[in-house]
Amino acid sequence: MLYFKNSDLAYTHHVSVRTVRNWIEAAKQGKLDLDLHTHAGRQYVSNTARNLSTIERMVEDRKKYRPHRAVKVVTPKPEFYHLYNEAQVYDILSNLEIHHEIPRDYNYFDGGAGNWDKYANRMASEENPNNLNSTIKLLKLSRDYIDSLIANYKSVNIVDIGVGNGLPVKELIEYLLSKGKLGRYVAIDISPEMLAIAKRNVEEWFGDRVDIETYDFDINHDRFANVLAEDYIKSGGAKVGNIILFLGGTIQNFRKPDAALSVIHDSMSKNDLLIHTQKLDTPSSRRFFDFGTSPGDATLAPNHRLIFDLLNIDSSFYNVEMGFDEPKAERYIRVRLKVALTIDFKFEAGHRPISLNKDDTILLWRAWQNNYLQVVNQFERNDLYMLYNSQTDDQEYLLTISRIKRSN
Amino acid sequence: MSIVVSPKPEFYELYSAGQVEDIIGSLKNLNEIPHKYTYFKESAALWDRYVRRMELEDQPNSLNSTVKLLELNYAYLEDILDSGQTVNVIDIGPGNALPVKDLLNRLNKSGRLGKYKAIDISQEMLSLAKNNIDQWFKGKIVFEGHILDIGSSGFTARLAKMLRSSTSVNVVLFLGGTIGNVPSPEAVYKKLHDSLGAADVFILGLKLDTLNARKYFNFTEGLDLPEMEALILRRLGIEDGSYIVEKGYDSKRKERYMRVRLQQEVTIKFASGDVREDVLLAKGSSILLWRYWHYESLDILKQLNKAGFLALHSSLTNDEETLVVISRAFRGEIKRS
Repeated sequence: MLYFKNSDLAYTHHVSVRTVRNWIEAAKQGKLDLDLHTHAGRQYVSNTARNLSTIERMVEDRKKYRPHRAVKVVTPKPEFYHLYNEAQVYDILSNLEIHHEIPRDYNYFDGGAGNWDKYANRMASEENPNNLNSTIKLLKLSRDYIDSLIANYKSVNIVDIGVGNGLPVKELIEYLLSKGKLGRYVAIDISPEMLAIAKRNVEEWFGDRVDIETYDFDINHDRFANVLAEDYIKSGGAKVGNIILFLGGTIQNFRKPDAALSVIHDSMSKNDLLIHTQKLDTPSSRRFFDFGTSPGDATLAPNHRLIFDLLNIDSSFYNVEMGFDEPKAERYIRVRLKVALTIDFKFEAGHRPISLNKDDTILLWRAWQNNYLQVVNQFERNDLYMLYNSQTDDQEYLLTISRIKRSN
Repeated sequence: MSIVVSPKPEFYELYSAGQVEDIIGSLKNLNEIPHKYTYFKESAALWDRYVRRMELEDQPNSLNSTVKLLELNYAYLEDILDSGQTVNVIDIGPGNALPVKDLLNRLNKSGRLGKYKAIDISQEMLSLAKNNIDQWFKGKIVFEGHILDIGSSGFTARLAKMLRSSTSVNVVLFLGGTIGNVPSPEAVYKKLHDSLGAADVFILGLKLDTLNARKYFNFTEGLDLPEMEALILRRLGIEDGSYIVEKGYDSKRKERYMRVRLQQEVTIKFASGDVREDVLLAKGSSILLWRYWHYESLDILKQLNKAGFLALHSSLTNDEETLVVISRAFRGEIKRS
């Protein structure tokens, strides 16, 4: 490309498209030293190294020389520091600063876990296809195939990554119990509160028939191989199988889904099975944003708002934007700041403020929109070999079963 | 040394003038006899014997693997056919109908089965399938045989007409790796895609590329060239002693092949009706009698996607050698990559 699209510049430099247009206008009038490129009668910023460094300098300067009275300074609430440890606070800070996003995993802490529980229970009561009932349906329709894969095992351990409130896996556990094949049930989640809810639910549903083990791991980084290793070594891997579950489209929410897949891959033994479900890219899924605990709620859902409240960012400071970003193939929920904002984070070693501009966006939630073939390719490039995949008839949800690739 | 041979009278009885010309063209231009022509006459019985042998084997083979996957995927198939309409099963290249027996039985028991329509180039293969169906189901399943060549230009229109001739939903089967035998799988996918209605379902079954599969030539009971392939050469007048047999895997073309290499120069004199043509085959040249394209499951999903199919469901056998894909012809808005 000889020039930058306005929207690309806006995205890369975290400014609004209007700001980019202002630059171009200023350059036209000779007030700003940017080379312009004319395309189809319109002027754009030329794709040159000089322009790039000018823009970078300008964006930096803009942060430095903002009038102080226009900047809102907030300090996170004390609960924020109770909920997240120092490493997590730093992770939130750097994601805000570098990617202008809050990793979604942190939404499930504290009240966020309860909100998710309510949301999942709402889905459970709906008749129309949704994330929960589609996952359950696909698991059920795939039962004969799963049976054929575990036919030779005496027992099967379940490792449930991003367990939520346990509802998606309930029927599968019931089924394995009825066949006398359930080994361990290991639940992994980044949020201790979410794990507590899953534990409470599993105990309520199954009593002492299922002994749920919980691990607060971050699947972006933490391998879980050690959790299974003891079992694997004891049994020689012959009689006990492992099924890793990664359900409900959790994979689509990560900034780097491949990183999570790679952690999962590296945690699996050669005969382990990975079962994953997600929503697929369809015209209707591109428009889907119904996350409230009650249907039809158009404002920020409680579990998306949680972290903002904890950071002490008042709802009058931002507008909520929901939409589908076609070039990135991503559904997003984000806020756009109405004011320049400084968030002052506190660490044991001292303070660390980060500054955000007016019109900056902060991403709260995303879902990568993939069609099934893109999912197959994604698994392929992460050295996972797909044995099975199955879509709901409305082509909105996909279930896949894979194992890790072995070298011949 | 050079010999001149003439096709036997039965050759001209068996194949139509168009088919004879197709064989001539294929020999001259591609050094190949299209494999579909081997399924005629007594070869049908040979095929039946081969498949029945597979039926008795405990080891995974093309028959029991296909049957197993159709069984494991039945709950899914039933779910997507959940419209209340009767279901016609259209079987392209049915063989002796053994691969589809269990599926027909299930659909029949559920009260959903309309007709079983078999499509093949060979009347003898259709008779074989019909006899078996009649014997297994005692007339409870309506068999309809259609002589039709998937390689012919009229195939798409004929199949489309067949699929739309009733209000039933159609399940079109293309099993047993037949897709690997055709010269151009892309052309076949296109024809099938263009024939299918929006509610129709296409089921593809085939053996995948594995190290095992590359070495697999266990088609006959110990003969060097399977009888079916030897037969068609004899019909052309090429006797068993005039060639050596080559079987192998061509890693460049990703093709398993069975061919003969001529030990002497051979001229085949075709003479029947309007067709008068000599085909000269040099000493040392080869005639391809059978091929199988080797694909991985991802290749197949990509091919289907490219041909406009939406693969709704795909599954591998536990030995990971056989794949069955359930698709619909794609008619949505989103561009597929």
